[in-house]
Amino acid sequence: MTCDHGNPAGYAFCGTCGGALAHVRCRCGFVAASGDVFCGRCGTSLTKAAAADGQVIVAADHRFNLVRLAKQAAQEKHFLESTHKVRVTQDDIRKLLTKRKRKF
Amino acid sequence: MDQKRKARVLIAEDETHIRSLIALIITSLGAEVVAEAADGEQALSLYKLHRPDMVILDINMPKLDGIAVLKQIMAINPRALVVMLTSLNALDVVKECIDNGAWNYILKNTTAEELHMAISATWSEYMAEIKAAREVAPS
Repeated sequence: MTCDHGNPAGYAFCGTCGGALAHVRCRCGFVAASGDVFCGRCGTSLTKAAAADGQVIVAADHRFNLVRLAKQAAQEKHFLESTHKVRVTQDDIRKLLTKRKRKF
Repeated sequence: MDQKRKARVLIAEDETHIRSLIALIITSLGAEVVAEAADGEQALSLYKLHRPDMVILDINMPKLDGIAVLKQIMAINPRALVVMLTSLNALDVVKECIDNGAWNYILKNTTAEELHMAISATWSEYMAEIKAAREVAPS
């Protein structure tokens, strides 16, 4: 990327200069910012996902690696179908905390 | 918060505007913000330096994530009061934090008033727990 434009989450290329943005792609398909540790959509650890996923989907010349893209799509589909991330609300957390409250 | 003793708080949050909001809430509760960290590594070194009474800790931070910071803080001080403040609402992440000693887990989609109340309640609860423990086993 050649400019300092602040791009929204999910952008792979800069909306102003077209430069490739540093990003991490989660197994669920969400494109997270490069510094993120957990996926903003599903909460999966991105460091683990990145370690398992070495190849780039978009090369520096903006060409898609179609073989890699197909593999990625299959992985994401499998991940989304096999994983049921349980979401909690603040009330659920309160109940959990009451059960597991630390004692001195 | 406790009127007799001013709580010393460390805020670890990479987003400046959220950090400012938390600092404002902490100050309005009569506590003192002793340090602010913008990443996990900084949070850990500032914890070691200041030994605050309470840590408000984000999870998604550069360099070292909040869960790793929580684990290291609890290894240093098993009685540390750490409050996770994050937008992550996955059950396994919440459980991991509680299992590793987080005293409270607050979601960022809460209002400033709720956040104010949650932090205040956490401090009161923690102080009551410490008092109760001292009464049971006076040192």
